[in-house]
Amino acid sequence: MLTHFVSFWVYWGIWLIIPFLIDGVAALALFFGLVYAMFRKKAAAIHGDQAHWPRVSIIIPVANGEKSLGQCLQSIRQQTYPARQLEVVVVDNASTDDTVGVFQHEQAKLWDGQMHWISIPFRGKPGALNTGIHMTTGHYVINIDADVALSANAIEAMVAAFESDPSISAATGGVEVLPAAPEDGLLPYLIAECEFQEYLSAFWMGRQYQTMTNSLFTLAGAFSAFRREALLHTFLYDGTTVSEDTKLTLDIYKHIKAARIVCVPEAIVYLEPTPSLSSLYAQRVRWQRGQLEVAALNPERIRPNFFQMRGLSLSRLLMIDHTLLFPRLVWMFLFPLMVFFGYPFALVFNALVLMYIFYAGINYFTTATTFPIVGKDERKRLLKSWWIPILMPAYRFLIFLFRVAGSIIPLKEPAAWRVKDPILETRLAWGQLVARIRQLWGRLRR
Amino acid sequence: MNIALFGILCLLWAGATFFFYHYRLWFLFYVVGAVGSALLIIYGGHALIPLERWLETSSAYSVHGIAALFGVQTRIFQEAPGSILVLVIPQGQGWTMLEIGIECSGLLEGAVLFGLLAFFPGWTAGPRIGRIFFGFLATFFGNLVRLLFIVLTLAYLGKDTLFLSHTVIGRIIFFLFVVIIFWTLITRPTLQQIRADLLKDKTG
Repeated sequence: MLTHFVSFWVYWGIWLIIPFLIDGVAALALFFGLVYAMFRKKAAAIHGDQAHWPRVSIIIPVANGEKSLGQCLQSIRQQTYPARQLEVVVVDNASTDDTVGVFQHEQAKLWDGQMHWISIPFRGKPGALNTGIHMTTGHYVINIDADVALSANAIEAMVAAFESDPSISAATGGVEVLPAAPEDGLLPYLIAECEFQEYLSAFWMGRQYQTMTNSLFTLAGAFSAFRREALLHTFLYDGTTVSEDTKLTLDIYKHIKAARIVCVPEAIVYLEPTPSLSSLYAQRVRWQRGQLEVAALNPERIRPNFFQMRGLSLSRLLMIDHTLLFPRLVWMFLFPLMVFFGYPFALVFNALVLMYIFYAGINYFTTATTFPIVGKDERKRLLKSWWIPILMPAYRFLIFLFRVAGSIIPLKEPAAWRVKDPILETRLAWGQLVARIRQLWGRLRR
Repeated sequence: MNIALFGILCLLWAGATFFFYHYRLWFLFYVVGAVGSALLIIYGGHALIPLERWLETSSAYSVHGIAALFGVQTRIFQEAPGSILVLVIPQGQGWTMLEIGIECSGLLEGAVLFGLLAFFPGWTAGPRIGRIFFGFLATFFGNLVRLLFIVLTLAYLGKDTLFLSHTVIGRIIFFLFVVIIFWTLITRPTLQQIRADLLKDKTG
């Protein structure tokens, strides 16, 4: 019996031990993050006369946002935070649609807060954000995207976190993906639900672990908050990389010695789901590129702290997000083909199934453990889509491939916000090739 | 698979890789190039040319030689050099035969490494060849350390440790080598290149 067990594991363990080890440890880190989120000291509610609550500036960079800006501004008007202490600045960078009309419509509505419009003649989010930072006066600066909506208590929860802990320099809110519209079809629905669960575990577990170890790597561009003096210690946003949020996060660590950057998942921002695999590809390629670019510009953060548990270790992050991508990439394709090199089909097949079950299990584990601490609506949605964790390994596999693309493309192509997906690119290239062959054939016949 | 079919597959693979390269579809170029070349090398080295045999033989003889320095007696069959006999000392269990197969020969890892380095975009020929050469040496060395660890554990601690030394610790040792090799040969140069590009863009 024992011999059988050992021989089974000698055979199987060879294939499974490394993925089990790496991803099992990562799941464990997520679990620690969750435990931290459950037991961390919650920020006390802000007390006292509302007139004395700190002034908050909300900066919204926008470019052609006529479809989404209205909803974003409405969510700000519905905040539980005293409106008199809110100052909203919409920084328009060269919109060509009726964004200004939407703004005027919202501004005309009765509200105690201030709403300003600034127009700048050039494109680029970093410039728009910096303009907003210079033009506002709030004690706290909050940046949100124009295509999101804040939960009613988002600003209050965020300010409460800062007020209860003076060591916090900056914070990111929790990002939650909204469901896809029923008429969008099955694929957008699946993408939305997978993204929803991915973000849920990222913000309630992953970012919590990073908060616990003070290693938060990216302030979400959709909703980030700063103590103004912390922000002014840096050179603000810059467009050197495609990921200005990550660059600024690292700049805060660099310029403020005792900086603490945290995640406040109770301060929720709602985000429309990514509409297609093509957009998801473009987004993840950009994120991966941004991560590499920011890491490349901060070499001093790479080497010295690999084994240091507290603080941001770029080397650890890059090892998982870059170095290991490559052997994994080839093995993922080679492994099923090992049957042609004498490995029994049953062995390879069973190992693949076991691996899939392992990863689906990790996703069920993260979903089940976040379940008790998220809100009622989120719980309902998790229950409704209880079968999504079964699909999550396939979704994460796609994301993994997109990451590989994001690691390759920056070495040959300049940065671009929109990247064509490989299927479309191949179709276009094939079309060009066929046209060339036809042209050549025509010439030969003539 | 006969040589003609292998040749056709090689041509198809080369055509697809060139197509992706020509039209600057870097992701597909890399995936098809790296995975395809690894596959072709593994198949070629396994079935067409004696590459696997050569790797098994050199690994076996290297382990045989180095193990002797640690006082561990090993024997190699002349007719099957991939097989090492290891003398197991403690429990008087006698000889154990370890077979160095395709997985322990380093052929798979070497082929994977070759594919990943040979088709990595953005390098000139010199550094690329240097990295492939260094990568092969490092992979061979890492594999040797793993095999040696298994042999020494087996010799000094007995057969009962085979699962732990072969499947768990041996695998982890080799994995650490893989991480160091890929960090040195891919991640570090990538970061250096991206940094150089960004600074060039900034300064014009």
